[in-house]
Amino acid sequence: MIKFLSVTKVYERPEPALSDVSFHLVKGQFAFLTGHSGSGKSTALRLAHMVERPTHGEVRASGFSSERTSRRDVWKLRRKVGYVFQDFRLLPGRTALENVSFALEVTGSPKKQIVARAQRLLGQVGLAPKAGAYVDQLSGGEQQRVAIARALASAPLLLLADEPTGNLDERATRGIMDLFWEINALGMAVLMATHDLELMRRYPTARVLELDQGRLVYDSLRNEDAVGIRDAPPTSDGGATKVPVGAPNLAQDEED
Amino acid sequence: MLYTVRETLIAFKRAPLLTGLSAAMVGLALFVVGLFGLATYNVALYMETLEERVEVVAYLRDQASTADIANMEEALATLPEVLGVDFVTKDEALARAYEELPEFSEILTDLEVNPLPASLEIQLRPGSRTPVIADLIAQQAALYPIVEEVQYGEEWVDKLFTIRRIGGVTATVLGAAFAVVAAMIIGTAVRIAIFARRDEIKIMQLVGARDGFIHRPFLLEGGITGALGGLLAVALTYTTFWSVLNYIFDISWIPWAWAATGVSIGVLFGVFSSGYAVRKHLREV
Repeated sequence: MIKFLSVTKVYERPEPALSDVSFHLVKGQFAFLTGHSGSGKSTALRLAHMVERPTHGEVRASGFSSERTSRRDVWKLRRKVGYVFQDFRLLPGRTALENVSFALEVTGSPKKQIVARAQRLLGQVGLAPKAGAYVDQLSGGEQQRVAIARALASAPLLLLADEPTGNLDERATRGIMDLFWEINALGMAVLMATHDLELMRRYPTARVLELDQGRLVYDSLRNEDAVGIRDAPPTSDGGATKVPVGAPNLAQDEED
Repeated sequence: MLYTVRETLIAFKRAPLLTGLSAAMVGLALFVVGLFGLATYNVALYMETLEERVEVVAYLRDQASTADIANMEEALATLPEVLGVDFVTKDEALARAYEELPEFSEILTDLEVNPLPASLEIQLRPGSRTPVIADLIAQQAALYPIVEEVQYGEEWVDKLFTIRRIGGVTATVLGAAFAVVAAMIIGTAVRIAIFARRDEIKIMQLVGARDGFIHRPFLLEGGITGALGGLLAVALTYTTFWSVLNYIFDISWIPWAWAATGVSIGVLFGVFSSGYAVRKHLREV
């Protein structure tokens, strides 16, 4: 689904935002991408969505390579890779249904099916009763559900989420995480950037990738004892065994 | 297509002032182009009437026989640059002199012998009324032995063409400059429209809308703004023409094809400058 091959991203600052990062997220896998602010989480997601291109190395996402996908063709990737933001990025002044319909319309869904499909997607995220409500009147959790429904509009196989619960309270966070978990159970790979350790502990079977100053310093799949953070929390205070990460060699058998 | 039209109408509805101002600014810029068009057209018309007077006159010797004159007249008339040749007899020349120079009528009446020569007036075809061709025809006419002298107002013809060339270059340069201004105004207006809809554009890119799909409403918006500006420019130019005609002096209205071309250019400018602005924006985000 996503493959980072020795990816380095340098902006104007001398120190790179990402430095020689390699990992492979396979189909149906759920992974947390964690690290402090400025560790490179968002940069990694933006590279996976080809909003940016790596300075060195290669990013492959849903079969698209950063080396071979022209700017003109990026839309094809975007239809296979959903993206959810912390701040929802919905269109204000429009209803939940209109926001989801907009995504369907601009990606060329047949006109007659748009409303029915948008309603079905809102039903999938548990918002069917509020389809007609203006997004400005919805709670944070509800707005994020609308954003998730929109991200699912083109039936992607991979969902990228950048701190999707960052603006939500405890209860809404739980609801959104359960929703991501359900979506993942249907076979969709999820790569979620978060720095919420409590949140990660609640999903111990998820893979954890930790970035620090642009370097991948921990990958739970490379820890022999752990398949998740319950056994090996990726924090210095949690007693985790941090394994330095070199070339990716686990879970590499499945192609994109 | 339905989406494009609907989004364009929504954009106009959302910011009617912006659309109105853009169209007005484009209209004013194109109005200046229109004024140049009007001026150029009328100057060209006037020049044409002046040019019609560009003719080569071959003054004939008194001894020239009627047969020789007829031969020369016929030979000159067959030249491709020549529109027609008129023979003016000595008597006709004197009669004209009476008419055109009334202040000398007394002197002319007292003459015992008619001093004015007969002549062949050679009119040139439109497009051949240039100093070079006039000179060429004059040289050909001078070859005939019955010809005493050939005149075609060399200096005058030269000046006429210099003025025409200066006028043409000035109109082209200034017209082009204001056309560029119009294009820049449309580009800026579209950029403001893009800025107002930047969130929408980002979401469209996020969910995988094709660039062409994102472009289209802006292209249509630019085209409509250009068309409105073009129509406004035509209306303003016509008002100016009407006022000048009624209150100042007699002028002619430009051919409607010019006006239609102006509006079409407005539309094209609108589409291209919007296309440029939106492409630039999409490259930047």
